[in-house]
Amino acid sequence: MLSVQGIDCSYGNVQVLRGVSFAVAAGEIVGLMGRNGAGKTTALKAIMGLVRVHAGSIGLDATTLSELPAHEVPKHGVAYVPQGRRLFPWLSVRENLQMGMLVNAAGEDTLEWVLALFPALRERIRQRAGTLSGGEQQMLATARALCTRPRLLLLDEPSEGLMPALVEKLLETVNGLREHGVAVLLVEQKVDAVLQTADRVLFMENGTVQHETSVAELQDDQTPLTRYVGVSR
Amino acid sequence: MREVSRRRRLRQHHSLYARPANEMSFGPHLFLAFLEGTVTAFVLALTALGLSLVFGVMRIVNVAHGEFFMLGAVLAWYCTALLGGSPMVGFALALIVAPLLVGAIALAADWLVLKRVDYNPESTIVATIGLLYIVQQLVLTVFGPEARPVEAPIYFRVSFPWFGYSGYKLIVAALSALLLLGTWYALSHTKLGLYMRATQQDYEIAQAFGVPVRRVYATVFALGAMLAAVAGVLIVPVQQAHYLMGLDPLLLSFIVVIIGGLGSLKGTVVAAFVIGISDGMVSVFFSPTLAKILATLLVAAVLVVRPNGLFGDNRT
Repeated sequence: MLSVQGIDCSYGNVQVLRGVSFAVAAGEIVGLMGRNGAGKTTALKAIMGLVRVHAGSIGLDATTLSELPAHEVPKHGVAYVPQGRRLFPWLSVRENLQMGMLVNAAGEDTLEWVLALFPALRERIRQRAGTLSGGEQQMLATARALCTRPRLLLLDEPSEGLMPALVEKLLETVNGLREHGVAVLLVEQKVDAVLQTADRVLFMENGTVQHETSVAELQDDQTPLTRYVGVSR
Repeated sequence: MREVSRRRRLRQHHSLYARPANEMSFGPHLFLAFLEGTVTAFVLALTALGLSLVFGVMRIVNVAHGEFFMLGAVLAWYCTALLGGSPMVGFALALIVAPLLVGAIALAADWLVLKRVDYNPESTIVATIGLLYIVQQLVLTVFGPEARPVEAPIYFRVSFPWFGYSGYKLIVAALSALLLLGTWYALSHTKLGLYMRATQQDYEIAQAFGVPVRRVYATVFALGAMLAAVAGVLIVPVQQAHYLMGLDPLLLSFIVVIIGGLGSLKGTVVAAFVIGISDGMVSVFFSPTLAKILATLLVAAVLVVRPNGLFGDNRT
């Protein structure tokens, strides 16, 4: 479904991604791990068209995403839950969800669906997004992305700063998307969260994908975790 | 015949200001000052709102904003002068044609200039200063250096017990109020308004939700210019069209936008009323120069207490 082929990206003169290649299939959850500055967030931004790709290509089924202007990418079914939530803080909860719904002209049934997934948001629907608690903001950021009716969901550190019960709930929701055939690319620092949900894990270092493994293999042999993330369980 | 009656009307119009202060007692005088201030405030709010939108959404300081105001006034003169006949028809035409033409000019400026410098905050200041001079000199060349009057589309006096007041000015205030309401409605209840606010708050993430940010920028720049142009059309029967008339509204708009808080609609309207009414009061009782001095002092005072303006963190 998603196929990233040898992409290079730079911020000014600093090259951040070098020949990054990987693929994500429909209904598959792929974890993307690596140390700070490895290029995980940049890879997601490149898929969204927010960072220019100057070599290689990014394809979603038959569409070449890397040729599109950034605002066209979500219309092809790619949704983004950015690091740090990045809600529209002065818009209400409803308006934030509406921003998602407008992307692919989703109807009220979509709104009902995400509000059923995150009932806490229903009570706060008129409230300004910036006034929500951290957990509610993460739910809203996820709900806003789901409102675009994505085929591919990009999550950047969704568990950051959340209490364990909420992380659990969020991962459960992501897992539930599998049945809908949604592909998920999950950037995550928490090893447990990745092992719990992902099918495969990609390890990035210095702007390239250095290692790829299935979660089952990772359960047996945890050396890649020590090598690329610097944690042992 | 027509010319004579027009002169008489103009004289009556101006007698409002010529009336010596000691002819009226304090109460009515205060009321007159308040009326003048209210009319000023509405037109100012309209002009400043354009500037505020452009700054809020695009993060650029449009130094040429006053020239869009001036273009509105000058185009209103062309509409009424070229069309002849009833001033009503020419003026109604001006109210439609001037904003559209000015909007088109703003779109061209966005495409030719602002987009090329990538909406960089510093470069756009220099670029819009250039735009200011280009527009001013073009108008000087084509329109000429003289101030030209435009007849008010309707003429009637509203009689208060103490004095009569220009009915047209009240209509100006009413139309401005309608346009302000319209802008507020568009911002808070339409898809374009939602996209504008989203772009203002996080333009990168707005793109990730399908907002064509460049097109929103162009639209906002054109809308801001159109608001100024309408204000120029509305004011020209009171003020006359002149190629340098854009300076005052530009400075006052900056004052309003800074006091109100950059990018806040509510703040802009509130600040326009503070400045407009105090300007009216001080101008009537003391002098217009003192009014400008006080407005400037007010900016300094507000910035000391609230560096982000009165409503700086309360964006609409």
